[in-house]
Amino acid sequence: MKKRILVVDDEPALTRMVKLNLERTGNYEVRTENQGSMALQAAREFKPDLMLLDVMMPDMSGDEVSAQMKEDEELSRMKYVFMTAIITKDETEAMGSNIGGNEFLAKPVKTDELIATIERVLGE
Amino acid sequence: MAWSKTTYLLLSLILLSHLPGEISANDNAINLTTEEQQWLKAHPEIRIAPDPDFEPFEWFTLDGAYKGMAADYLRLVEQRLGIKFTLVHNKDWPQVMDMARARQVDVLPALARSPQREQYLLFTTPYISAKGVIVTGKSYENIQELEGKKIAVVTDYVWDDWITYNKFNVRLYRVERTLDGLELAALGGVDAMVSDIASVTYLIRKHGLSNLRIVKDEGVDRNLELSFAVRNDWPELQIIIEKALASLTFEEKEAIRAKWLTLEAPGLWRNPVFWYSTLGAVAALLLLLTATVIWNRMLKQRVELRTRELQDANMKLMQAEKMESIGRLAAGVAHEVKNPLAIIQMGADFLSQEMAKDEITGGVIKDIDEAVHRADTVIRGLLDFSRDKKLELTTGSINEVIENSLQLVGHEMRQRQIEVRTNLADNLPSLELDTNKLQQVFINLFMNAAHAMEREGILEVTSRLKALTNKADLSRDSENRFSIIQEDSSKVFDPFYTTKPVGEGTGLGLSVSRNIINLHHGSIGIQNRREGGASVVIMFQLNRGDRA
Repeated sequence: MKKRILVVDDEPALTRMVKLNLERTGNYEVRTENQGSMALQAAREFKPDLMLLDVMMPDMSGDEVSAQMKEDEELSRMKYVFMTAIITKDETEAMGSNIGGNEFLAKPVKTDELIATIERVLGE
Repeated sequence: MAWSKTTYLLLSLILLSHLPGEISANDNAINLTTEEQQWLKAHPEIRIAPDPDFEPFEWFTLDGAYKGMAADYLRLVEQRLGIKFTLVHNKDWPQVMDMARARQVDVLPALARSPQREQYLLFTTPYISAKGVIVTGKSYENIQELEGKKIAVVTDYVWDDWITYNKFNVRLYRVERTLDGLELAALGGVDAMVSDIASVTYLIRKHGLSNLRIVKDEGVDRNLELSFAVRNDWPELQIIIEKALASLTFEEKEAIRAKWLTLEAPGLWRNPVFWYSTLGAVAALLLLLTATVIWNRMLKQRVELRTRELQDANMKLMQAEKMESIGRLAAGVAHEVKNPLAIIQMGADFLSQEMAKDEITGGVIKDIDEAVHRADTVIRGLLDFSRDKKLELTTGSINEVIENSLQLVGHEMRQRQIEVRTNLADNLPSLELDTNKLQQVFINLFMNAAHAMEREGILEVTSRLKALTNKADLSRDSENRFSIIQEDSSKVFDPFYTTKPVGEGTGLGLSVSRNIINLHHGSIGIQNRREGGASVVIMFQLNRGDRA
């Protein structure tokens, strides 16, 4: 069965690229969302196995988005991979407890690396 | 300036010959007793050992000239006593103190009194007194606001004691030299520094640390006081120098203060001798004409000197501003550039899968990959440079960090046929280190070395433990003295300074490395070797905790 991935990033071109690259492997079903504040609703509808989440978005940070998700019982088994354009892992860990401990990728990331990370997190 | 001073002295002599007795009639004459005069006769050689590196109080220039406030006082003392001291050039401060203890030198011209030093030296009344001040790059208004903040002081200086004695609730950060502390304050590595007004004013101007200012509230109630120190078996000389110092006029002292604390050329008109000279010149018209010509030349020189100073200060100001703006820009730029890079990267990944796998398409995709990588490297360099400066310290071994770093660059070295020789001392104790950051430094240095040698060179890495006689003067250790790194070669540590072709270096590696080493309380210097090649010396200090 295909794994469901929800990609949340304020850059439409980037979410499109991620969707194209993931879906062409035939292993994933991908939905994209460009507003952090819409992510919760999208997750409730789509019930993803994993959420790929930008850390810094204009309306809501990745930290806040994942905090919302964790309050929802139905979404409690969802996995997270964070992406950021700004800083390093250490500094992001200091930003919020919801990010610390999760997988973390620095932009720009190569597709191979992205897929390897997603597989690892799904396998956990 | 050497030219104009000589000319001036010469001029004075000619003119004074028309005014017999004038100069001896002034009230500067000093009354030595017969015993004191005999003592001076019996001791024709009095050896003076200045601190070679203690600006603006005293130091030796690269060509060996003795400069500074103490130097000027010493010359006045010589003039008053009608004697000539013998200057002893030592390579560093520990050596000066060793020689003083062994009585191989007789007088230290600028020393702060301390009970330890009084065991073998006699001190005159202090003749230089510089107020303690708090310097900051931030907006603090008084010492209360600095509670809990990180404050730099130079190890073993009076300010260290002052803070401890008054039980101020601050975090002390000990540095080797006043300049180190000021640079940290300018870059935000510490919140403030406590030091004396003279060094601070002088160094801020000299090094263009334009964003520093002195905290308004005068909370520091201690001064740095410097005296002549004389070997304690020569009490006669202490009294003689004391008398000479007491005879100095307010104008003479003021002229010295103004000269070193305002960075102006010597104020000739403050010197009474100058006025006698001028009177003489009126009496001798011919000489006056000559004087006018010379005077004009001196003025021209003064203007040229001042212009050079201004240009110099301006350059330094620009450097400091450049550093500040990089920090501000970096985070914003990173966000705006890394997102588009991510899109390009994933776009290229997608196309590489979808397009026909011919040679040309493959080449285009590879070029895009490499371009993205290059741009990303620059941005990461910027972020490293502006990053919040925190270390994650663990107890570690320098040798281990060196070996790991060498392993990581091993492939590059083999490819370039660069021979790596290591000579790592096995008696190195463990240190508190941020191993990741230090590894970054070493890899950076090794890669720089590889790029500089291109092919078939030798990279030699040595580590060793060295005891220094005086803990406070680590940075003055002769083999590790970086005073040679003046002007041009210190530029290598500036951000964006690179000699590599476009695309091969960001010009940030060494600035980042220096920041990291500074955060470890270490120092780093680079210099060309006479026998060819270059050497980089990094120093760490042991037992930082014991040094208070």
